[in-house]
Amino acid sequence: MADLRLPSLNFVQLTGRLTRDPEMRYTPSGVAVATFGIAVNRYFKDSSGESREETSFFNVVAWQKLAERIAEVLHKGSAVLVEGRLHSRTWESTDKQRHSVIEIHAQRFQVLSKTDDEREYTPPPPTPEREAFDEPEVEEDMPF
Amino acid sequence: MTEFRLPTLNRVFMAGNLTRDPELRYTASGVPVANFRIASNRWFRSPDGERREDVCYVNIVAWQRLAELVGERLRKGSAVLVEGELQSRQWDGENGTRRTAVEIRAFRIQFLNRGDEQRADHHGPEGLEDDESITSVDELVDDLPF
Repeated sequence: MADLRLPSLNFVQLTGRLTRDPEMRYTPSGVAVATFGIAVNRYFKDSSGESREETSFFNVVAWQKLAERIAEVLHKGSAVLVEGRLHSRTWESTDKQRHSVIEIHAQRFQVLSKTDDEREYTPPPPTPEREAFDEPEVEEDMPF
Repeated sequence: MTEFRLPTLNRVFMAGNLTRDPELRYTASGVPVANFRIASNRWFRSPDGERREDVCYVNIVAWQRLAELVGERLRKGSAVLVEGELQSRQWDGENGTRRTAVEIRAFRIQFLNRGDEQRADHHGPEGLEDDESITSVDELVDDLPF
């Protein structure tokens, strides 16, 4: 009964706070890319029943309109709900070691801090070509 | 004005195939931990209409009974649907660089290869839900020693 295929499923949804202001860049073909860091807390009881908190840190990447909106409304400390998928890529460091990096490619977000975004937002200056954008295959393909 | 607190929300759903056999080990206090890696494929069309494939490789960690079931029932190539949360770990690599790894801590794993259901009957593992291809350790999640 080989009538089913494996679903193509890759979904992540989390809430957290930005660890830094979003960085806005443009690919050589002019596509907007925003990246930011997010800190996500987890609360749990350890084996001795003690309440504990652990923080995870992730990198989030967004493209096009979503990137522009992120750069407009989010900044360091903003609370956000991010929805998207996981993306892995590998790169080689100067000592020829291969590293694997996982980041979240955002497809949707909600700003959860309401006051500061509406009140005191100043658009950041664009920083085009600050450094080579490290994901050439995606910037060509724009899989959205 | 109503005040809210930031919800704790962290959920990942991912389907894929194991890239190698899972590793099952035990912590010093005897808690089972399984580590494995899955490859999840995604197909999309590039702007010029070409069909492209993107593979995401993610490490998965499972604890307790779920870890043992992973060790018993999964092999390289096995198809799974993993449900869990995303976590990062940091450590000091050689030459003092700070390294970060991102992985999924699994709460629930569905074994999607058909043969697995029969195998589960033979092993008769306790703690399975009615659908024996679904394994959950939700009740244990708060107690994990890390």
